[in-house]
Amino acid sequence: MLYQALIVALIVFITVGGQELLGFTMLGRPIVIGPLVGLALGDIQTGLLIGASLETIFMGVVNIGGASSAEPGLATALAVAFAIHLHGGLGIALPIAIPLGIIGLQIKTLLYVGVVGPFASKFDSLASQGDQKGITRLHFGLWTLQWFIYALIPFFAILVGSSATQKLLEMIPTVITNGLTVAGNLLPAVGMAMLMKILWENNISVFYFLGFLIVAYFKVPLIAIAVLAIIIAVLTAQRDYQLKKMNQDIMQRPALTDNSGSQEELEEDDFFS
Amino acid sequence: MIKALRVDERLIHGQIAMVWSKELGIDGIVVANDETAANETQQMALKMAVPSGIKVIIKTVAGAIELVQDPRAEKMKLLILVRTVHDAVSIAKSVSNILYMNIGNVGKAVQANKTTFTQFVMLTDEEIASLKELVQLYPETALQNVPGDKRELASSSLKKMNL
Repeated sequence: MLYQALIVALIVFITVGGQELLGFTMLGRPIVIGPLVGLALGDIQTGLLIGASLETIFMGVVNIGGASSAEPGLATALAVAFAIHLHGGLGIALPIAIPLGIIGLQIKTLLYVGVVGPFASKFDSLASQGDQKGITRLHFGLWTLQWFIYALIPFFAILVGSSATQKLLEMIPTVITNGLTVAGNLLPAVGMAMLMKILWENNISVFYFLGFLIVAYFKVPLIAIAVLAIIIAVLTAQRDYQLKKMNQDIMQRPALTDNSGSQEELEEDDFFS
Repeated sequence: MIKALRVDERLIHGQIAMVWSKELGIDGIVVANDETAANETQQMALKMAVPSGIKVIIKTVAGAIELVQDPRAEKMKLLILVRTVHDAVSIAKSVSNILYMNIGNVGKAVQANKTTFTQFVMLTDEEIASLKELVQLYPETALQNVPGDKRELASSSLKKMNL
């Protein structure tokens, strides 16, 4: 159990922490953490299955400023670990993952406020001294400390919590776990809907309906659709790039000499164009 | 058309880029702030936060008033961002067709004696005076952080707090 606790804590530290160390890397997504925890605990298939299921549920969860809703990384790591340990599928993972995602976010926010926050003025004073190295050290030091504390949650949750979780889950009647499995199969629609709310653009919605068409009438597997989507994306990107280049060529040709507007007017023209 | 004027001391940030721009369906953001208009580093940082497909222009408060009265502005759906309630009043005095006057995020970066209105709005006595003035000009002025939150009328908050 100590090994399991250690390895899952390490994975949470690297992925959820790493997500925020090198830009927004998406390392902390369920689809990454699920198989990783599965690999470490010797059941990569369960890990992949639960990781993918939770990814579709948490797909729309992108925490921006005050509009935060969940931290799926911790939730996935623990859900996969318990599901492998207790030999249950999504029916066990789901009741664990959803509340943990919400608790995880609260703790993450608390760590930002409690661990990183107090050092804000220290950063200011280092900056006024021009101490670049000091800022770098403090930045990475705080990162390590914050995610080390965060990783303690999965560590102790697995070390002391797994037998308690097992008892608790055994108390849930099968009718309810069956219901949760059904709900779990419906939840991806909610995840997609949340994502759509952010990403929906009327002029690209045709692709959305193209996806439906391909699945419903041509029965093409998801991987093939993903590849098709990549092809469309590359084509569109190439076209956009060429258009942009053409645009720049046209803009550069007529000399700006006769158009003697001030910098400010040019800026305004550009804004209104 | 001016869809909204928002008081937000962070000016453009994630909530503006991802949530408000979508909700309001805007195609241009006018940042009205005197310090930012004079500071190229700040302008660069703000422009990085702007979502793709949305234009941005950074002006002094006076410059922004002139800009939004340009006839060409009528054809665009605009969001004006200011840092203080005081600046919002300056704009409200000359611009009368703002569809939504929003007090979003203000006061966290101010070091002074403040009154807490909501988790995101803390105002000094001078800012409260400005808010009263703003409510006179725009009675529908509301406190709201993200579109999902309830719009709390500034006038009723002022009344509730006996200010």
